[in-house]
Amino acid sequence: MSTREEDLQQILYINPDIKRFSNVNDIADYTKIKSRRRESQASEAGRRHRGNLIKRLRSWSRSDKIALSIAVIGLIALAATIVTLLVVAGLVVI
Amino acid sequence: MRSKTLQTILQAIYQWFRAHDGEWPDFDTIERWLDRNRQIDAVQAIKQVPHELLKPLRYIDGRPEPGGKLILTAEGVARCVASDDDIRNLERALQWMAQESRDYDPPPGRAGSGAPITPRQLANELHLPLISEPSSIQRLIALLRAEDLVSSYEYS
Repeated sequence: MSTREEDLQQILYINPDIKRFSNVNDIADYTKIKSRRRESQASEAGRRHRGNLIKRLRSWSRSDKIALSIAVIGLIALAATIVTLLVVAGLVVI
Repeated sequence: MRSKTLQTILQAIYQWFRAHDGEWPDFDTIERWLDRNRQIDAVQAIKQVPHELLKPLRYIDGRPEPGGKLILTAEGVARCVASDDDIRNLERALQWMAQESRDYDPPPGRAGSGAPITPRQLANELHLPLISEPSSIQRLIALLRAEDLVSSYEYS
């Protein structure tokens, strides 16, 4: 569909309030639209990611969850042992 | 209102707007589309769309007027997928129009009137493709009108 010539020649008037955009370079009010959209897209992506993680966790079997818990407890115990050994080694050196 | 429902409504309006060269859909059209394709109750859902995204509608007996136009604000359009070109054109138009407005001296007796422009002038300034994509200028004018940044009256 082409634009009719009379439509292109139609006189329109600019709202004088447009002068409120005194800083022509950034047009602050309207560039906010873009940043808001970027924020909402980022939060939407974050929500989707979190939703997928939760879904994946819910789909795990009971034995998977027990295995994960044991692994986490094991890691914490290992970290605590290393810290204890370092402290003891430090005391011995002193 | 769930954000997915809100996005569906905004996107449905915007898709129609793009497909019809800058013409806004009426409530009846979008209501039927939402009911048929998404099983969304448009009367309830559209009531909850914030006015920052959708222009207020006229209600008759608790229902939006069937022929009432669903007009998105610039912020509403910016939330839609594939609206980057329209938002970019709107921002460029604003820059140019703000400058035109500053450079304009109203004729005697018409203090406060707006600077006159034509869509062709705007299209030329922004290098919009009038032949390969004529609807880009029509959509831009529709957005500028929706934001009350241009009108057919002089504002004075």
